[in-house]
Amino acid sequence: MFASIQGNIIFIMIAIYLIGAVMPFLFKVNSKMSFITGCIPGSIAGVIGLVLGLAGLFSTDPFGVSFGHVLPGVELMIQIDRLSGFFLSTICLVTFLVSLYSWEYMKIYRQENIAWWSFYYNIFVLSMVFVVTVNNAIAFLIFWELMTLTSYLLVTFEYRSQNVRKAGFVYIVMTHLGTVFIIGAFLIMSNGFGGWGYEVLARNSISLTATEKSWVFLLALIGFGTKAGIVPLNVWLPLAHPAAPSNVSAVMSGVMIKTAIYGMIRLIIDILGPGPTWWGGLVLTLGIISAVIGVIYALMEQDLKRLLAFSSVENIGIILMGIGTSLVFYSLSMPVPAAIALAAGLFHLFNHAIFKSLLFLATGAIYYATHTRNMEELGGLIKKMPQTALLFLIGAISISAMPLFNGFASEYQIYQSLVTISSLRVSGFWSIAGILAAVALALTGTLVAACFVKAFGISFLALPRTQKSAAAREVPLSMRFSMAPLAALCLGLGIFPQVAMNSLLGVVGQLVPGSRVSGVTTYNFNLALLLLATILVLLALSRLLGTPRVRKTATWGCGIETDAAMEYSAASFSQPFRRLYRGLLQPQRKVETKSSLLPYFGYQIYFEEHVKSVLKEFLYRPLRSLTISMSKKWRCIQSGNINFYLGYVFITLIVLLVWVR
Amino acid sequence: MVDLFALIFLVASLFMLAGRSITNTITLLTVQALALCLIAFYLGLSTQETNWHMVIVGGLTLVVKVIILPWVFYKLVYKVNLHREVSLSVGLVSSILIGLLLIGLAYGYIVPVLLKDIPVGGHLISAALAGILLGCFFMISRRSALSQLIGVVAMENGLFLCGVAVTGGMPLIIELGIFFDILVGALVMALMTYQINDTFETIDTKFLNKLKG
Repeated sequence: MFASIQGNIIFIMIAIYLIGAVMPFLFKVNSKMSFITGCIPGSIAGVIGLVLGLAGLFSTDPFGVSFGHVLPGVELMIQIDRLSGFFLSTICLVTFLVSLYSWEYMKIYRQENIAWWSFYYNIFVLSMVFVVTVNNAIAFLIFWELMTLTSYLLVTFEYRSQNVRKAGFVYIVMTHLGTVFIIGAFLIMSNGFGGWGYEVLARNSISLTATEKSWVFLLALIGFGTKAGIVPLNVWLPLAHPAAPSNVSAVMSGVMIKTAIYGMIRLIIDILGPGPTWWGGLVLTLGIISAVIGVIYALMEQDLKRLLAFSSVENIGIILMGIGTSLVFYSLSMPVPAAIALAAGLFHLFNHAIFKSLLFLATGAIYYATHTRNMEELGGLIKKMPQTALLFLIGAISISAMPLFNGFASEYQIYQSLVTISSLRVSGFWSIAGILAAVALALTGTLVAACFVKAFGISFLALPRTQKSAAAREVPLSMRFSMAPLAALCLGLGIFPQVAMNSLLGVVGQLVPGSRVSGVTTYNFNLALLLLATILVLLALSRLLGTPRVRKTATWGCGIETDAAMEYSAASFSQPFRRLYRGLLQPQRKVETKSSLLPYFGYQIYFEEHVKSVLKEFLYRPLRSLTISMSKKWRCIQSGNINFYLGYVFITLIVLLVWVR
Repeated sequence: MVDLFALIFLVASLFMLAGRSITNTITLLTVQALALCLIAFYLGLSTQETNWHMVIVGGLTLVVKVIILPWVFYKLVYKVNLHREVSLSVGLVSSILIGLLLIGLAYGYIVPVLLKDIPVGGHLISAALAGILLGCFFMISRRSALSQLIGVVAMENGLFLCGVAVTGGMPLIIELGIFFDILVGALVMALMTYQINDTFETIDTKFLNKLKG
């Protein structure tokens, strides 16, 4: 059908991924070769995919290639339109760098089975590529499940630890539950015949009633929301991300949860078409809740990767705020602000993909150097690994939405959209709600800044707290080099956001016709120039006026020898926030003082403070116990006796015979 | 004449429920298959011109169900040393009563009420449906793995009679397929039974409960 150059390139890309999946098995004995054959094809295919994605993003007509029918009515066909192109380039950009990074990083798992890791990893990336490019609901579901399964196997890579297995179990249960809802949404949209292609579903959905449309919307929101990790469906994120190796968490958090956003946009906006205002309101509310709750829990964490996982929940919330705002605008038939809001959401999605994978990779570098992810055991790393520290700092600044970096650029656009809702005076409700949402976003931004001041400050500054961090050394060059482009993009997109915004407006223009926006102008470059000028002026002033004499000496410690135990700890940093949000967190504090001889001399203080997860306590625990008790009651029908099973069949047969008239 | 054979078929099915000895059951199964084979031959040869379809099917029944399968089953009985009586999960008297009830259901309700639109003379179809139900119940009431196997074949006999009664036999290619299926299925199940005996020292299915997690 599309026997074009692009079609051949797609074939080549898939073939290279498969080579990367299979080749390491041939070099199982030679571990060096198996690292190379696993990671290099992954990154080459990533570059090809990036080119393809960019081609799709900027081409007016979708292109693709067909693999023929795999099932009745299911044509496996890759079709890259602008939306697919955007997601494809995001996925491939991140996985390209992560594959390069893994080459060195996976060496700490040398004693594990690297060939299997490469297999799962490459198939995982390939299935994500398929998820965002196929144009058929059944094919989508197949690759969606393949993605879930391979990522489950990657999460449980260190299967010897009980916690990892538990995390994997929670992950797979939650995502399978989500898939049930997605299947439900597709089933409502299909009319039973005519195939499962997206355009068929789009045609069918025109004739759906308003109630049916709302059902599809709700099912899709729950289903994809589980994968994306919106509150209250986020339980798997803080478990699965720390359990997986850091490079895998970078891919999972950076791009895999974004495929859920892709599904949402594709299904709700592209296929179903925007609906009533409460849809947008619901998405916006869920976004706000996820953002605020996500960041509060992130602030409580001591484990760097758990912190990043909760921060992913928060960022998904911000992305949903953009999408929700755009749905509100669409329902009020204001396509231009809707397009800008959706583009802002997508822009933040891209930015989050970049800085979150950067942060996960930097955390991986810390783990590589120190073999711990617990902040309380780190400290002083900036002197041991200055370049990693700089990269982590750039990621942290970006995620905290500081000006000049990309997080600021996209969150600023979302602010603008939220304020526009209220300033357009569509109704009294939205005037207030828009402002309140903007306030919630501001609160989120503040807490994120606090969270990453803590993450950076506790891990990198001051003195090493343990021997582990004191013995740290800078990570290999290839790891630093694969993180550097991400950091450069953070800065570049922060200074020139209009490049990204304008190409994303093209994506949005394809989704809903009539929303052509000629272009967005941003002034971040001027801001950057202004800041640069200020810095130069300040530097010149200090040169001219002369600096005071610097004297280097030890800090005065009131006569006590200072050591690492006196430092600000991660728990103490977040203490004010624990107190502030005690209604939500319900901290349980336990302090014990043990003195050896006399009080006040040579005593040890034992401090413990746990926060409760309200969701776990009030939603998941009752649900879980209900499920278990129901299952126990029904268990008696599962006797294991073959005669009973036959009896069930027989009785069903008789009952059907008697009943069916 | 056909009705007589159908009666033999039905009586054989009912008597299978009445005994505990496995060898008698196999003999009864053979009698059942023989009745089927005679019905097919009769239908094929009684018409003006010979209906070769029916004759072929009858011949296949003779070879597969009257000769090969009973031989396989007898061999299995000797191999796993199963001359003892099989244990039951439903008592003999009650199983015969239930069997009679099922025959009543087939004759009194299913055929005259549910299937009244299907034009079938005689009681071939009633006997066939009763045969299916009795075969299924046979599987429920016996605990031995070999009895499950015999029950499956008995049910298949009922289905076969059903096909003969309603449409005068299915297309030959499907018929052949079914014969091949039942042959291979029975052989595989016989093998499995042998394996079960090897593993558990018995083929009493109540010990299969151990497999449950």
